[in-house]
Amino acid sequence: MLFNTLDFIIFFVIILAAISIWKYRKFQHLFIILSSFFFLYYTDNYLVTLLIFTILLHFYVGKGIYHAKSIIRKKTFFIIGVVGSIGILGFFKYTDFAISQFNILGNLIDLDPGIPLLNLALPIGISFYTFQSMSYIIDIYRGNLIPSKTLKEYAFFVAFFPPLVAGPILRASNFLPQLREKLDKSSVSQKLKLFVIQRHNLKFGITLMSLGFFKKMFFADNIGPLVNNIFSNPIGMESFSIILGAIAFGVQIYCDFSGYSDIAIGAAAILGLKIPLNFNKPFFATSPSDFWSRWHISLSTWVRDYLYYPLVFKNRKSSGIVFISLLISMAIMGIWHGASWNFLIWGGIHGIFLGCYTLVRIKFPNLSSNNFFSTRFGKVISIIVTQYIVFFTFIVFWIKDFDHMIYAMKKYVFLDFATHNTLEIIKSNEFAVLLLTLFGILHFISYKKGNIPEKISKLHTTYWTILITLLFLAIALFYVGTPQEFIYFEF
Amino acid sequence: MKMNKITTLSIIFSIIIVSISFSFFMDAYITIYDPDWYGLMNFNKEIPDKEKIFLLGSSSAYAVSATLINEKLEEQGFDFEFYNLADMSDKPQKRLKNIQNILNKDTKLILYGIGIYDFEIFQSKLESTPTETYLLDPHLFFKFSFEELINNNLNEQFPLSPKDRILTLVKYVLRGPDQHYHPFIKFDPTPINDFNTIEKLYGQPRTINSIDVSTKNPQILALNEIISKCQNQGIKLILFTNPNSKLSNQGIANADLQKFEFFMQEISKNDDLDVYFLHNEYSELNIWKDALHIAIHPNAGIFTDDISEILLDELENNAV
Repeated sequence: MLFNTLDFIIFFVIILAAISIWKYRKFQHLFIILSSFFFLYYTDNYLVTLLIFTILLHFYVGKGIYHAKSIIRKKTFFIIGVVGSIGILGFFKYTDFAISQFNILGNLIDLDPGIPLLNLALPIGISFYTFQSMSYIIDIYRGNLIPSKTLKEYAFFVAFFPPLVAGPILRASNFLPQLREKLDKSSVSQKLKLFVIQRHNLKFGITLMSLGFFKKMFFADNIGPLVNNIFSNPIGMESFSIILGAIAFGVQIYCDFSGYSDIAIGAAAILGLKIPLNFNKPFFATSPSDFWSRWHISLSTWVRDYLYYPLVFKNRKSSGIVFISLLISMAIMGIWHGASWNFLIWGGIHGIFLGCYTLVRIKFPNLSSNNFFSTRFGKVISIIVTQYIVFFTFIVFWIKDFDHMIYAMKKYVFLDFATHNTLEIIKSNEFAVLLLTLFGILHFISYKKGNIPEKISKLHTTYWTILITLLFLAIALFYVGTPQEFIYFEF
Repeated sequence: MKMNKITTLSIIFSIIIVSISFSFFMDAYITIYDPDWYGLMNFNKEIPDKEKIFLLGSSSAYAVSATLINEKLEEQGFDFEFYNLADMSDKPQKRLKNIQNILNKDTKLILYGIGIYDFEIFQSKLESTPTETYLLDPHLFFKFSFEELINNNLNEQFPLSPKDRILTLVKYVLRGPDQHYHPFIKFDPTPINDFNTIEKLYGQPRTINSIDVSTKNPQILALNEIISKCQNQGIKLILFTNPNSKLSNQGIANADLQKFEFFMQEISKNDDLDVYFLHNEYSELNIWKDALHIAIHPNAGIFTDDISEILLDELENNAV
């Protein structure tokens, strides 16, 4: 069920209506759990069983770890949980990739293995709910989290439909306390206990959802054709065309994914649950590490906490270990996106940039406090350099064909200063180019003004209605015609 | 709770405003269409002062080159200007909303392409689909439950790409049409694909559910009204049936085809109209871009040639 379809709107309105008129409110959470299962079943039919299996596995493993009386028992449960998670994810997501690579390798050494592909369907959202479940058992193992007391509570945490298929990846330590407030009858006021739709939440949620739809359907879907135009066959393209394609794709994927996140966060907010931000004006990042604190925050912090920190362990002063740990963490983050070499390379390049940046900071600790970087000019230069690198990596994210990828990367780095072809592309994609400019202006305003959704939702109802109407109108009038899948659904 | 109601009402109000604006803007360019318009940003173009001939119809009539027909009209010494106003998903009900605007533009003759798809009615597959299908794909249940509503109402109002329509409108208002005789069609050449390629690129063409040519079908009523409006204003109307490829014909039942042909013959008799049957004329030829559209291509000019022949015959024989 795509968020940008009539199906979802009807589904969501039914849920809100049911919650508002439900008499026996203690069953509300059960209703939301069942609705969440239906949400995935509607999208992915029988593959919903994987979600149910994941929930059962991690719930009991979590309990096992927490109540284990010996270290060995604790470790055994932990390994069962991790292997179970990675096993399911690996089997469904990477088996065919592994087989095809094995076949290629076999052919190279005249083995001709010819192992047939399994052609497995990729269960929607598996990367997200697997990582979510893993964080749960790791936190329990580390002693940072008390496991869910009831299966109901845990099932709600994993299956909750807004972030289920494309994040943000929830952390049990953030989400479970909110749920417990609602499920635990002893310590909070009646209103907090229940899924009561409150005025501020409703307005804020609708604002955020509208902005999410606006980002996805107005910007991302309309910029997409320009990107396809350039990157589907970049051979022969000029440098400026490649740069235009990279910028356009960066903006497209940002609007697509942060749009999805906004809809998810907004839907959860209406139900009174807080999901942390997933994006924070990433195109104003001043360094590679600043970028990753603003882009897909839920994944980057997951990788930092559960992968990078354990890898680097107590060797934070060893440049080599820091560099290698960053490289491995980012490469894994890359391959998390999909079973394809380009994602691995994408992650690897980010790892190299992050590693180099971190090494420079270690070698020259006073550099970041240099006066130049605190001036406006210095900041602008930092942003431009960082974004030049970030957009460079987007080329690798989009282009899967190696020859095309290498050509585009070369053109991006070694400028040819030709403009004829680029002007033709701009002329035939005027609207998309106009949208890129508009996006730049809006992104800058949002960077300067801070939390725009919060500010909009606090407007007087008349002004708020006018603004929401304008957003809806822009979405409707510039709708491309068919619902476009969210890019992160593939992951 | 009261404030929730206000917020909900605000959203409902927004949706109503957006729906009204949307339906207005989607047809605006046809409703305000003026062949003498060159756009707000173009002031110095010459406006031809000639009587006009308009071709109407759906995207099936896109491939008729108005530029070539105008050249032929000039060669034969006729002082008329020919415009191709074909519009995507155009059906009689939609065309009725703006026909008066077209009839008022110094119009001498109208060629109108009618297709079998214009009279298609949708039958819900809800009951005829086995339950296990819904279990595997619950989305189908939703689709079939609301199919009638979506297909009959929403799709009629909701064009394939609202964005294309709104950008055409903006472009039309600001700088006039790019091709003066093809104001709503991007008349750039499109490739000719053989039938195998078409099947590969676009898949199997869809099957027509069923057609209804009785006066219960609002499309028939709209067509009748268009005919009588033309006749009341003394404007000659010529109908032709939209060309179908052999692939699209595979999705049309023989009984439906016969019903359609019979209906067109009846219209010809009852309303004293010339009707040209072109729906099977080009079905086997290698001139198609996809199953429903002849390519805009120099080697696919046979459709334009036939339309110009129909037009020139009409102009010569009846001395319009």
